[in-house]
Amino acid sequence: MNTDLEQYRERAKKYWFMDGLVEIGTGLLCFLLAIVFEIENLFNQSPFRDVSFFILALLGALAVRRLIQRVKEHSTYPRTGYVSNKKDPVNKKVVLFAIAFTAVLLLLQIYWLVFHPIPIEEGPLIGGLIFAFIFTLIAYQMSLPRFNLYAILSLVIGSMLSLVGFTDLAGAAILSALIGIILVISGGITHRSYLQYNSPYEGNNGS
Amino acid sequence: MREIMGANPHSLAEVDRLIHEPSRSIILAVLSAVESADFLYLQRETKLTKGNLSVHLSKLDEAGFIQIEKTYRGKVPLTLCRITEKGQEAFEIYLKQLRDFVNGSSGE
Repeated sequence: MNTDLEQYRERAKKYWFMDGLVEIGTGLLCFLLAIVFEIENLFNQSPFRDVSFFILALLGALAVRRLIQRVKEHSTYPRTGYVSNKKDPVNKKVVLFAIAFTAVLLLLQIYWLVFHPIPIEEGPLIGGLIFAFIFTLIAYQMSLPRFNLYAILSLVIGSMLSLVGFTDLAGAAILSALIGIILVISGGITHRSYLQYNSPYEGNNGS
Repeated sequence: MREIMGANPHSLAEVDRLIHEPSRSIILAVLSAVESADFLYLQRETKLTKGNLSVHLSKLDEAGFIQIEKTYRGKVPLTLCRITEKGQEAFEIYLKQLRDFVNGSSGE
């Protein structure tokens, strides 16, 4: 009984991810990042450098979130209802995990700069690690196994690009674009199957 | 079931009868995990008819376990439900009693 109730709680918590729209939106954001990285790559002194890059990424993320919300209002909520997630207090475990990951990443980069153990470009590999970390975190927090697959793919793509010898910015652009494609395709499949199994509800959404 | 109940006769007798009804415990389980959920989501999860769900929601509302807000999204009426602090506490106690009962009966 307890386990059954836990399943209802879990399902409600990950409702935001169930229709695949988050993946499609995140995929679009990755394309945006890819374009920014490519512009930086082409014009070495681009206006997107440093702080403006983060502002652009943040604005892009906010715009994508709004877009997802609007699409959900038309396709998801009329079918399976509306759920608003709790603004949970910061999870200490997650914060510790993030700090540890950042520290490992920094040490790895310093070690690489000093010793250069393998003659490859480390940029795309580190990019792949960052994507993998974010996807693993979502998979862990939301109990969504498909995000583990994205994490593995990010690592594989990042490693391959490093081995092939793409420089930081070119590698980051290709990595972001490929992850964007994976997310859009996977999100599209999830969304299609969601629409297939959930027809729009007839009538008012109220008692 | 009779044997399990015999293992620990007091635990289940003490549970809140208002919550110890499958549909209402599902409603509280959902609402305890989120900020709010609408009528349609709860109807899908409980698989109840509109009328039955309304009755269960009213009972939980009367007990002060949930708050019901009638609003609109655009021109579409929307019934939003959220759990109250009292409801959250009552549901946590209920879950603990269930766990204690299951652990007690499996330990014997």
